[in-house]
Amino acid sequence: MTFCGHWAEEGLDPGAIDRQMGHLFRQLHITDLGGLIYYLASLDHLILIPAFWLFYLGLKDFLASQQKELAQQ
Amino acid sequence: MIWSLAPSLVVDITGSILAIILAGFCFTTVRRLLRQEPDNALWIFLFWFSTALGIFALSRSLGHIAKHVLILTGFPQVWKSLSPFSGGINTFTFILIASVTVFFQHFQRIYRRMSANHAELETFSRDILHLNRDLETMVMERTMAEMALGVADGIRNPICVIGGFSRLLLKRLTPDDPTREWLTTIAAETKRMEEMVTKFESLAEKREYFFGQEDLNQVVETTLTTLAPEIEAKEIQLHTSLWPEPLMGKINGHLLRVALSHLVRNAIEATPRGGGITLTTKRDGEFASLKIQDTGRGMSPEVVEQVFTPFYTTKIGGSGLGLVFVRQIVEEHRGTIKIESEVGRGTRVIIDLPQRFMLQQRSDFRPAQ
Repeated sequence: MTFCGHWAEEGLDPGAIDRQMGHLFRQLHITDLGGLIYYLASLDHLILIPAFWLFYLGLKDFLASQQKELAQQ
Repeated sequence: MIWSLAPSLVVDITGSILAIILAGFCFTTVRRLLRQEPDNALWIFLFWFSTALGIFALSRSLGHIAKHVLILTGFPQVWKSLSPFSGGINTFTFILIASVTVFFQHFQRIYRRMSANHAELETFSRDILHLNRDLETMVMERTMAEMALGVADGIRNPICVIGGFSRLLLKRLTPDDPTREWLTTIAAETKRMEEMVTKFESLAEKREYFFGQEDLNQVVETTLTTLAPEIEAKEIQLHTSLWPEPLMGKINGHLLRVALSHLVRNAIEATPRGGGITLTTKRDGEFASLKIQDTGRGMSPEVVEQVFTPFYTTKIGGSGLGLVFVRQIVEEHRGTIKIESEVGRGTRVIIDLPQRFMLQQRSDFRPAQ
């Protein structure tokens, strides 16, 4: 997804991003599929963070079962 | 369509900070896991995976935050010159994650294969132990039986003579004869000795429990079913020609299966891919005969001469005891084993087992030499 986002950014029309209101309030003129992909890919943290969180929960679960096993021994 | 990029900015910065925090949590957790069990392959993999993931999260997140900070503070050119390096580091860490995963995937495959081999070795070891125990029991029982029969045979006749004459004398003596009491004691003690001889003889009969009435054809069939995957894996043509009637005899099916498995495995190893193995059973007078013939590489007469010598082997890693055990098993069944072989043409093993043996009649009992 990140790769697609960067790829779409490279092919983005220079005038597609309106920076008149500053960096915080930039606006994107979506005229084609590349623009849409760029916009959606720029939100990739919405997938990355839950995935990271689930990975962390899995590790915590492993740790809990390991400590339970060690306590039983 | 005009969409604001402000949500993307918020998600980017918040996500970057959270990614660094979560990567730290993951790394700490997995380090604790590994500290408890440093030899656990999964924890080792997760440790390296989390480390690579942490570097990736740190590099990418710091890159994204730096990008926004530099642009907001009016240094977009600085970011432009830095961005290729940031992208390069991100790509490198991404490749690192993939490499760690691929490496451990291969490692896991090797580990699984090793575990399977280990389990197989344990099974073989258990089988050998079981076989050894059975052989030891058989030898012990045979020794007991031989000893009992030896003693019984040696003293039965003198005891019978003493007992017979003492009873005859008792009949001839008058009731008030002073020696009558002594003769009565001799007759009673002789009777006790006769009973002891009978008990000794019954010890020998215990051997029968170890052998049961079984069909040799069935032993061959069950053994071949077990070995079918090995035969198929080498694409060997298996031909069986079993005697149409059951070849019943007093045998120990478990031991014979072990012996037969060993012989068939030897044939599989010696036979090239696509070769053939033939198993034949038949009744030959008082004997049940079993023949295993392969189209393998065969053996020279010098090798054939030595195959039953303990610890003699031509195989790398072989114990040199397999055929010794096989012969021991056949001899415990009062049978004979013969090996005929020709280099380049194959090997033929012929086992003859007497169908009526082992104390069915006392005169049948002849301890194996």
